Amino acid sequence: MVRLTIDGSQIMVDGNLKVLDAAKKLGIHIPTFCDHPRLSELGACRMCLVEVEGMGKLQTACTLAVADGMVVLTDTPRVEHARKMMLEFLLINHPLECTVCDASGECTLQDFAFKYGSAETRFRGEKRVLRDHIISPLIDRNLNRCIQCKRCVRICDEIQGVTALGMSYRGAATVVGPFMDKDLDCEYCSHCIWSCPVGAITSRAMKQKVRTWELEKAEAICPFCSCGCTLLYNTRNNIVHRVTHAEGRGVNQGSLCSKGYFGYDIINHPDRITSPLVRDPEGSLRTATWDEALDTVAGRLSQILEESGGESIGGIATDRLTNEELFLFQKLFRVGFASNNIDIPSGVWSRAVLPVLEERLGVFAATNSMDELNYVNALLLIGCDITVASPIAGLKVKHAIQRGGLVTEITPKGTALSRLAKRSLVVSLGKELAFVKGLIKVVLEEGLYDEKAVGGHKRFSNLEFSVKGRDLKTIARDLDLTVDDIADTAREFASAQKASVVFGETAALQPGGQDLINALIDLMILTGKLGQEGCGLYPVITNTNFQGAVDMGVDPGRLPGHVPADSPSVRKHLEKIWKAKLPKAKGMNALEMIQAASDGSLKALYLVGVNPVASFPGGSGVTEALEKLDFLVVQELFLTETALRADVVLPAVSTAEKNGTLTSMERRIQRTQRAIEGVGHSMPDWRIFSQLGTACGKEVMKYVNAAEVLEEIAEVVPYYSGVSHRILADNGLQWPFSKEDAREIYHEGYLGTRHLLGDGLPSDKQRFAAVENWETISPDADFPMTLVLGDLLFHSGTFTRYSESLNKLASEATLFMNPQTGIGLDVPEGSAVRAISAQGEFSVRVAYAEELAPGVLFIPRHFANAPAGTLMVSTREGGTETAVVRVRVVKA
Amino acid sequence: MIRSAEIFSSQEHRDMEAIVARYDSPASAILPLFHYIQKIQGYLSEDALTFVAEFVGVPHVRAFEVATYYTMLFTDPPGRHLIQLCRNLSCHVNGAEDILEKLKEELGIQVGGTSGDGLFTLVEVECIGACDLAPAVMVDGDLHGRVSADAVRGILDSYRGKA
Repeated sequence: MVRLTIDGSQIMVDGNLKVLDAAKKLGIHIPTFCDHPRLSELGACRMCLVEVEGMGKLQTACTLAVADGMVVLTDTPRVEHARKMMLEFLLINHPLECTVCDASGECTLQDFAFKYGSAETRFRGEKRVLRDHIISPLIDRNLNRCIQCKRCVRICDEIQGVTALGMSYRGAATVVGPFMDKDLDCEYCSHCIWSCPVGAITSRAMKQKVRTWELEKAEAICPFCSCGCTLLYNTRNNIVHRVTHAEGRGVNQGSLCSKGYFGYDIINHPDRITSPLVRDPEGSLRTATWDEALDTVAGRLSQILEESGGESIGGIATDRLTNEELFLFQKLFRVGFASNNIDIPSGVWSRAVLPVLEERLGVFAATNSMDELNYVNALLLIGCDITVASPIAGLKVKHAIQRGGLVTEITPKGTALSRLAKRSLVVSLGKELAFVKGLIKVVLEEGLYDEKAVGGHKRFSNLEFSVKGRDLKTIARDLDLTVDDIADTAREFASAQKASVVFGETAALQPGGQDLINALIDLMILTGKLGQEGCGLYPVITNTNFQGAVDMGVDPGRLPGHVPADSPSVRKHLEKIWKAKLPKAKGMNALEMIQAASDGSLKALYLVGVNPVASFPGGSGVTEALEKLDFLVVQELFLTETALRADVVLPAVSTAEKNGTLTSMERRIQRTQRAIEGVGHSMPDWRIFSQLGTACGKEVMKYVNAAEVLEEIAEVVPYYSGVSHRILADNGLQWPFSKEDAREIYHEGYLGTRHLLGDGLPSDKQRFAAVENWETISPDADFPMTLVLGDLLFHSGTFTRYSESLNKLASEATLFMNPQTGIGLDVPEGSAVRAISAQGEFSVRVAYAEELAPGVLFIPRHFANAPAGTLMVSTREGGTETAVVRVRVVKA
Repeated sequence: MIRSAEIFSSQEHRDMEAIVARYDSPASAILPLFHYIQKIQGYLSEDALTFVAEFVGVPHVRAFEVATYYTMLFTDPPGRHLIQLCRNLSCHVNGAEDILEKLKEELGIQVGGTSGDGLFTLVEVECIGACDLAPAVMVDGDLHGRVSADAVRGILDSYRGKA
């Protein structure tokens, strides 16, 4: 600690701080352009010049380290003169076009000129005019406004790790731009827009649409993935005009991704459904009042319930809904319709993946927090393009790499991390298991295991036996890797203090993915990497509130809190509170419901924010099944392919239009708050469920607001016991937590449990699965290729197809393959092919991508021109999605 | 991804590997590689910049930053002859401005441009170490000292005949 004096006030600060930070602590404002709290220091803009006693020249406060006894003056005539001169220099070239500049009102140059400057300059002559061109459909660059603070260039490199922008040429001709002055080729994370202190980099999506000072800002949780990022909706007259970064707030500390920043145009999209629709006797959908629509739904469902029983009614709800809504959805079905036929579209995770974690570890979620990824020393990323699947978690991995963390990526497809990671190993789908078993083999043979962790394990010898069958050389040769690739990865992982495993859907949702997860858990137990800070097992499930949906019991076989539906004690408890008999029998999952609709045993289906016609396995079979239903209700924002076939369409709202809580991928329960009123006559989903339940005569479905639903959740949902708006106030709360936790423990901004298994593995779990297989996908001569159905960075499900902005970045599917594969199939780039699976086929154009392993194909699943569901084969677990499909490709 | 074989011979590739081997960090070799490539190809094409960036392991835009920072490196094909006009103090006070105007007029181009016949590229440089001969102009490797505006055409003509 050092003591210094700034403007006559003394302060003791950490000796590593700069004068600028010390001044900030004293509440003294020093103007800056190039300084940014999340970036390295630069000292380029010269705005922060201060006088320091004993130093002749003025010093830049942002780069000058504090020293004991230092005396700093920030507000002298000499300092003010210097600042005025700097502004005068900048204004030689900066065009005074504030009248049309989107940054006007939030421009640092405008503010400082207002504070220090005058409108006059002593410099005569022409302003520098740089030739400029449009560099991207969404991000606008204006070179003449640029003050060369280099913030955008640094944030793109230091935070996002993309380095798409540079400072090219030199002196007065220096320009910020992409490689070769070409179009921007980047992740569209919006950090450059965020960091620009003037209007040199702006969002094209809001260009000259609204003045910044007219906007009101409302904090909310991003609806597009399970990271649970905090963002600010900027609104005026009940329209969301843009999203801005909530500096320093939330798990993302302000950072956003392309979807979070640009995807808001879905909210006020002109195609939103604004009032209920009911199918008239002639067969067309017509506008109706809420009373009419709800009475129709309640009447028809009650009738079907009476005639055919609860088993004939089913519901599938999107996991983008809030916890309150998901809770009411399952309650409506269980209490109102005596049915356990409820599911989410991503149910395959809660039935095929999380049960493995539950069985092996006793947990039903990722074990550790997203933030811990920042500090890992070793990380295994398996089948997970984390930058795409979970962009903000991806940022944390990038930071770990910057800090020297050793990241090994095992992937069928090169990713944005491939260039940055210690090693990026392209391994064919189905062979990841051999790699993981190779790691286990090295750990066993070199004695790298954790003695304490394996001491009591009965099946240690089984594990040894399971990896005996192949030597390391054979494993490596088969994977087309070197022995060192495997051995070094194993050594790094075993010796790292903080070592974690992250796996994504191409690993977990491939046929036999459970074996792979079991092997990964074996590796973690063997090396003693569970239950500690930085040692986590993370399934990356991208669906926004997947965790909340599972916790709330939107599952045909589980009640709230992951409790089996036939558990007598819990059922009894809930029956008492809900004043109703709950169904005992396990219900149908989403795919079984479609199947039952097809064979006529399911009479009514209630779909909330899901579009099976576009995204479920089965292709045209799904449409035919839906048409056989006696009654189809669709609750949606848009008239989707599915909604067009409904008997009643209920207009719901987006996240920006409602209050509630969401639970992120790290078990973090967070509040999201309404930024605008519902568009038209649309209503929040919780209110629709509540009113519908009441219309069905269930008084226990009556609520005045979402907060009241949360009170009930706090009462009946295990893990959520005692949750309230008050304790969720700031950054939310990670379950599990005790009431004391919720009140008292505030550990570095974290409330609740940062990582699970802190007391070690329960004694009955201390054993190895010792997987005997070496491959998870067996060869199939009819369908020799493996197709990965995946996400693009710029889209999320089929929902973001309604964002005009995101469509500008990608709006059509192409089938990606390695050039070698393409040449082998004799299909040149751009040619049309048919992709055929056991389930169905579609035609699509080919694009070559070197980053794919030979024989592996990739197709984005978002777009109508290649409906992924056509190819997907239903899984035993009844997921509506699998990530990997066996196909053959022929010329169209 | 730019494959070396698409733009370089195998001998050239070995030369470049040798250049990189001279440095502890591959990125340090970026300027020597640029000089080498410019010598054999005349300028630094997009493919060449992409190749070098990947060869030494830096982001593409970093290679572009370096290539555009130095006036002696070209990212567009230059003319057959390179005219480097010194704009430093000694040359400036001795009339470099007049020579510049004359060159622009004779060639019909701005600084950084290449004449329509593809013969000359004009750049400004900061000091060519010939202050005693100010104002000075360097054409290709040849130094022309105490140049006057009237002498400009004669100098240009002497190159017009050359290959």
